[in-house]
Amino acid sequence: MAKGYLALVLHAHLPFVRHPEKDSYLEENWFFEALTETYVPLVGVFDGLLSDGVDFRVTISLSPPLISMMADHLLQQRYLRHLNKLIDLAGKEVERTQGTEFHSIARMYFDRFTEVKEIFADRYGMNILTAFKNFRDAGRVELITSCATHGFLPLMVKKESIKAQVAVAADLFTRHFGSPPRGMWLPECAYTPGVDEILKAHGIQFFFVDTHGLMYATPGPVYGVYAPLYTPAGVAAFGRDHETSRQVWDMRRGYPGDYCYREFYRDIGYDLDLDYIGPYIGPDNLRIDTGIKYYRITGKTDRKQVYDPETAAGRAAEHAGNFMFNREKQVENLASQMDRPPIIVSPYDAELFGHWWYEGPQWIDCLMRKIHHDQDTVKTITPWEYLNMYPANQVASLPMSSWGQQGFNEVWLDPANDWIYRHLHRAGERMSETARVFPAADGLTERALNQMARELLLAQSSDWPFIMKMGTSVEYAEKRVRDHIARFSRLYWAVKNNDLNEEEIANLENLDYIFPDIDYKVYKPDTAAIVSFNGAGKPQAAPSHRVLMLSWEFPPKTVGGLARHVDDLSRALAAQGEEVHVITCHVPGAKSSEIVDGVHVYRVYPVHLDSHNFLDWVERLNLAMIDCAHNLIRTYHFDLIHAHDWLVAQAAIVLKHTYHLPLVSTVHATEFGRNCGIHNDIQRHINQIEWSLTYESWKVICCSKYMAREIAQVFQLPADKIRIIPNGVEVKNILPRVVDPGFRSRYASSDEKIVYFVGRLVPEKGVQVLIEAIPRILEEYPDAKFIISGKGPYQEHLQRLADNLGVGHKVYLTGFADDDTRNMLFAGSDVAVFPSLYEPFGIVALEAMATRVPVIASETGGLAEVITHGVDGLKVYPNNVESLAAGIIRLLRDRELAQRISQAAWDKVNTVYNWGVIATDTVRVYREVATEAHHTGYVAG
Amino acid sequence: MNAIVPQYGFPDRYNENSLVLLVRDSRCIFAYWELSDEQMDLVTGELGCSWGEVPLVLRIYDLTGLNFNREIAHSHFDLGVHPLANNYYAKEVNANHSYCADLGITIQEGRFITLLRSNIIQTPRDTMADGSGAVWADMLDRLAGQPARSDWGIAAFSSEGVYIYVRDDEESKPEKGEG
Repeated sequence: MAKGYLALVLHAHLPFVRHPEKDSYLEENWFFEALTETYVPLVGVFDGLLSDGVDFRVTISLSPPLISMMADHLLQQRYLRHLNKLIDLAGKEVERTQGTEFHSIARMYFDRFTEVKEIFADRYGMNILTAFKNFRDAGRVELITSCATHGFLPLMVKKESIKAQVAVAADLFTRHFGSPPRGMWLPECAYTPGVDEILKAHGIQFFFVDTHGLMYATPGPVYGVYAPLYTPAGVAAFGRDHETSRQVWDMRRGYPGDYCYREFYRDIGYDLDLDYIGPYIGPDNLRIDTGIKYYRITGKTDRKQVYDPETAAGRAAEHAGNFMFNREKQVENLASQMDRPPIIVSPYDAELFGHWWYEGPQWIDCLMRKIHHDQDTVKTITPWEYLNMYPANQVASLPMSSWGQQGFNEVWLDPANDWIYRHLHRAGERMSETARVFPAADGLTERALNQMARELLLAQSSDWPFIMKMGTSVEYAEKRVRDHIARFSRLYWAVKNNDLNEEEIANLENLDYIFPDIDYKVYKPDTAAIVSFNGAGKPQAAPSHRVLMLSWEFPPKTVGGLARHVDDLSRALAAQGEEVHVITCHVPGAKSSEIVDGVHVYRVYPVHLDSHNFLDWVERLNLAMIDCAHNLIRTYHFDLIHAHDWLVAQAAIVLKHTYHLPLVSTVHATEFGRNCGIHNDIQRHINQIEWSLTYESWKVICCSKYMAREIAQVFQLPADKIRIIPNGVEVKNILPRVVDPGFRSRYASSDEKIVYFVGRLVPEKGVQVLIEAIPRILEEYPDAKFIISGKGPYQEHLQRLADNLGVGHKVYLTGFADDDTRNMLFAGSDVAVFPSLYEPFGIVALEAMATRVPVIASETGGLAEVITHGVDGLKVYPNNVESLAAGIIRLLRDRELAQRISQAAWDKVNTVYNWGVIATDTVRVYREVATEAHHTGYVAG
Repeated sequence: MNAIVPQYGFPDRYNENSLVLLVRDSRCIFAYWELSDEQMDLVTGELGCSWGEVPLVLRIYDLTGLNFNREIAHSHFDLGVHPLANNYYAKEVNANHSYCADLGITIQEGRFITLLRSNIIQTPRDTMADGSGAVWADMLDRLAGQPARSDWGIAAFSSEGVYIYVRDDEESKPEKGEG
């Protein structure tokens, strides 16, 4: 009979990362690396122990996201592809290192990777879950799972959210392994009172907490952490042993830090030439780990010595012996103080073994064998076995705790990540509310509701706030939370407004493919009323509007900033529950009607186009739009019309009168302003149309105080008819991907600073002023290059101007630049300049600010309002060569100033010019107008 | 298989009234809130000022051991918050205590007007309890469907605190050595 027991617990988890939208995706590598270095090697170890007749017990928790990824065909295929490439690389390494001290290590990698492939593909037919099932059936491994998406339970406010995390997990586990899990690994060992009831309700008999989670129980535990406690609900809690934890986890004094072991941070992905290693690392030659590392830790030095696998293996065996020896001592000591054999619970992240600590799996192998062969003081055991041997245990209530830094919730609730919780909680409430409203949905509604549940679960993954706090792949984590909340939100409103689209839902099901058998009803509240812990703050359901939006350009037809504006605005409105229908001009290749990102889009063809007269064409476009609207209005009741600029005025006005719909218009620019006055018949005609649009509108929206003054003056508008709402910038569309270092060299040499302009090449954009300023700038700062992107009728004139001034070689007119190129140029430039003569707003300046390039612009029109001089940009006098030159020189010289203003600009873009804020302001205008229409009886129907 | 990545707008605010408390650790709680436009308009209308000048206050009540009754709270303390802020880390709390919060404004005469009420949370212990009153239970009895040896009342889910009381009769004596 053993004197004491050791329960080794391996918790295997990775966040669910699966991106079918691309052929390969960098973050999927986390899974492939873990398979190669941890999961498959561990399977190899346990296979070996089994076939050698070693008696051992281990508890393994496979989290649901990990189970899902391991069973997924797409990821299995991609992993095989990754593994083949790795074997390929190892083969090349074997050749390359011929005759050097690295050769035997290269051989080791080649052999190991080949073995991994044999286990993964041949032995287990690419589904490694079979291995774990076998180990369980052989009675060696207690297989358990964690919560559905590893959500952090103590920070969930709604009981239903916790319940769903547990229920979905138990269900998935049962489907894969044939019976429900007996125990559960709480994510991050995070417990809060009440979780135990939910666990009990799903048949979970035990879980784990950190040392203090058990030690601070009320009343205090008689046996410390060396026996389990029952919580009031009757579920057993096992506490982590501090000593075994430290021996393995401690960075400096734990086993993994031994100088003989492999050094993690010297990977050939970083060390070798790009020409050779390029195909094996990230896209655009982004250097990442390959898994082939040649050095050992050596010591606290940068001069690492070559790894010696044999010495390391010997050390692992020594450490295993040492660990076992310490356990024998520990058990003898404890057993003398307890009236039953103690259980020492040693939980670890599985990924520690093999990935962070390369020799980890060997250590486990040696340990199990030694414990089995070399002594009988300590035996390995599983928690369930121990409970059956010693079923009478102390009852106590456990406090909130976790195994995170500081022992509570600090890591997951931090300024780096606290913003997510209002969104997660709101989505949780909405999910429960919707599940209650639809007790038995079917068809498309059921699919939408199930997908909502998936999006919510994926957003709740505790990995995202963890990554945000740790600062590793922050952008990816933030993107995941935002994407899932945005998708959840879209589905919520689609269900609420009965605006379901099969294609859209099928696309999301494909994109976020997890828990295929999920049932949204798991979120249905048990009680009649939703138990909201929100106190008495009554939620105000804001009534949403159905908006008919008219705009002559809309993506993919993108001539100016108008298309992007209407696109971003309509999406931001949809995210707040508004139902937006956009009628716009056709584009060859684009669909004539579709729902894009929650917005209904219809594209019309101006018929009978035999005249080349622009104004005629505009009239035909409007007639086509009116036609389209007639059809729409037969099906939908609209609350208002929102028209953008004079080109759609005719349609807007006709529809307003025909259907008694209040009209709101946005004036982006005026003919008067563009031409500094009205000078010919065509301009007069357009001016007239602009006037009638503002006259017929109930409210006129414009983007700046400057524009407001202009339209008040030009169109004689009363002030209370005008609403100022700035234009927004969709930051995530602007942020460039990794900037290829080779990219910049196409435009300027490495010691040249780049001054960049982008915009239409027309006189009002003031590029000629910039070119005239170049000689002055070069005098003071010769290493400057001027890049000008865009096309327009003024292009040739500008080129000739540059040549005449003798600076043609320092000016590069790139022509039209697509969005990606433009954003990369912004990111790679040192100054972005906007020397406009007339600019109602200057959205491109904001887009520049969003890439963190310092901006210098004319003090004109709306552009002047966007920038605060010296704070988030520099302003210069319009049409003034001296002023512009001086400003640019100052920015090129003073890097500290440049850094300061670009940071302030970034902050501004994310607050004032944020589309969410702007959409809210727009909805307020809609509400004003809709309410007024109601009161005055305008909407007679 | 090529899925299309949609570019849905991200809901920036929900235009609803809510105040939520979360526990960060035994000495720190976190509050976040949102006020609807209507609510903010009402307040600025009443006070005759812009929202940026509203004297917003977060009042935290200590409700340890009480039945969520703010009126008989042990104590409370006020934190002045900037009206444009929407969250706060309150570090003036104790371990193993129950708290709730109100967000409101203080007007002249020091009167406090509540705008939002929060949920109730409990900070965890960060010290050991004493071992007195230890209670035992046998899992196998429980699984066999027999009533628990020790009976205890369980408070409703969440963080109002779980109170154990042991029934004062024969059945509650643990019997060890069985099973």
